[in-house]
Amino acid sequence: MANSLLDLPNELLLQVALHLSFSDLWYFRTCSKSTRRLGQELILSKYGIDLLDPQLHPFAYLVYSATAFLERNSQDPSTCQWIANHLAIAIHDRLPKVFGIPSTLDYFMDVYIGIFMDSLFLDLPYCSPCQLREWNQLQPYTPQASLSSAPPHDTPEPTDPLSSLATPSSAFPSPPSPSSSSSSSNLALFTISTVSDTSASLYTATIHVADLLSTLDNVLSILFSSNRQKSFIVAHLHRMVLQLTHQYRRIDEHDRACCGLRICVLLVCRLVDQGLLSIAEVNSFAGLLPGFFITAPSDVHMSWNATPRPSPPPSRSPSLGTLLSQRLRQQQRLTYPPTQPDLTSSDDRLSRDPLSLYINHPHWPLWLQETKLRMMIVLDLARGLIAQYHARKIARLDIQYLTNMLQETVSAFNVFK
Amino acid sequence: MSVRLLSSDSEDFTVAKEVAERSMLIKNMLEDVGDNDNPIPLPNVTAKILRKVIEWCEHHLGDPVTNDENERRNTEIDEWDQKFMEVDQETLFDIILAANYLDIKPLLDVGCKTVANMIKGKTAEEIRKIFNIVNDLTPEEEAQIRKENEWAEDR
Repeated sequence: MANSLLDLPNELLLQVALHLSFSDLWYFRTCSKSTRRLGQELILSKYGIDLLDPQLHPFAYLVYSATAFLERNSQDPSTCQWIANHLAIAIHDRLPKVFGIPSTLDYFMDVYIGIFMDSLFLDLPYCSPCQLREWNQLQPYTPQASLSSAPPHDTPEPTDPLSSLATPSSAFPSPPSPSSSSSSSNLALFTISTVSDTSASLYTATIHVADLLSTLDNVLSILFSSNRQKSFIVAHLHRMVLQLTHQYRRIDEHDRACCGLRICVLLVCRLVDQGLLSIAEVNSFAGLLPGFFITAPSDVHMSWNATPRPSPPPSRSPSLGTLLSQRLRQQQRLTYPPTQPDLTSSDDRLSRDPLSLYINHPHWPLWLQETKLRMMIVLDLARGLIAQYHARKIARLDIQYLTNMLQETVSAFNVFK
Repeated sequence: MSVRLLSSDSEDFTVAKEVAERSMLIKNMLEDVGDNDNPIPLPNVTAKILRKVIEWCEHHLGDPVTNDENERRNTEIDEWDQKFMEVDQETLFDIILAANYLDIKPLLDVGCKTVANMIKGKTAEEIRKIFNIVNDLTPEEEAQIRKENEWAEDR
């Protein structure tokens, strides 16, 4: 018998906590002594954040509180400025008066950037945006999707994903306005915003974190003449990609990692918009992305020949073999039909008899899923950068990593030429 | 074919086998003991709660059983379940405990989501009111919490 919530065993309270966000648990722990203890245990179990750790700096505590506050008050446009001002004062009060100001400032920047960025990945949904609505990123950008004009969840969502394609006015992408400074991030994860309510709130949260970092950068540059924030952002972005890469290799975390990667790309696009990241830094970020994937575009060969070519080794490194087999078993039941795709729309292919496409790799479902995700993120980044290229009249766009990634991915489908 | 279930307060319930087998605990018990007229004792579930659980199982009899935790986690509470869960808190927590004991995962999920929805987006004061939690924080602890959340205070 349980007379109150707190009578439930911890195991069941943790199940309840799975449906709550960080801010819900943060405020839950401010109710009473027992909820404080319980909330801290739940935050530790769910997120691995130990609020009772004696080594946790009080400033970090303040930043976690800011994270919860931002999540709860993100609809108020003044929240970012409010938090930035407050944090700047908190930093100012904690800085030594004479010596060691730059290194202490660096420490605080590292703490708040790390916590704010990590907060985006605390409540990732357990389903992939790619699974819910495929190729949405190829849908046209429309001003209604713009966050600067309205939050995504305020935008009426089409009930039928095909309905927007049927409207002639929206059948083709409107080029983003060169004068718009927030176009690339809208383009980048317009797709995520249409996936579900959870994804829409993730979209909003990402935009707000990027905006908060930008506001903090402005405030701190004025107060301390420091422009070191950029380097910490780049370092944390690299850390995030590595973290997601490890997460992606765990079967039960696979979809969350894919979603996380797209959030990461949205964050990057928004940070470019805000001038916190340069195009060269985005290109260097793109250089990390191939390492996220288990397969490479060149792993799978497609041919129209009647005889399949011998299969290449299933993985690029022996240690991935088991993982690939596990993932294959998991995916075979939910993804692609084993039969040949319908390609009757091409006259050229109609002339071939018999019409058979051989995809010659034992792990092609995984490869295909990764290729789709790779395409999505490359296109998101590319569109974001091209918008910047036009907006800032940059003389030369040096995006070698990004171009390589795009070329590799596209060349995998050369057989369709 | 029917099965007899005996609640902790010794009330006897006769239910269709398929209904009872929504509970993994009962399903496994039936597999172990085979066909038998003896009632299955459920010492952790009162008649009041067992009646509710049976009602839920009967309504969801045709539902496909999914073992995919992520799928279950992402499913919203349907209208019938929302109505079903409109009970006093004691009953709600007892349904959750019973669902856990009887190993009826979808019912457990609905219960946990219902409780989570009661907490979502609420302030500390609202949570205290909803769950009848007494604020027993010392003035020092209150001050500490205020300091942590001074954003809202100053606004």
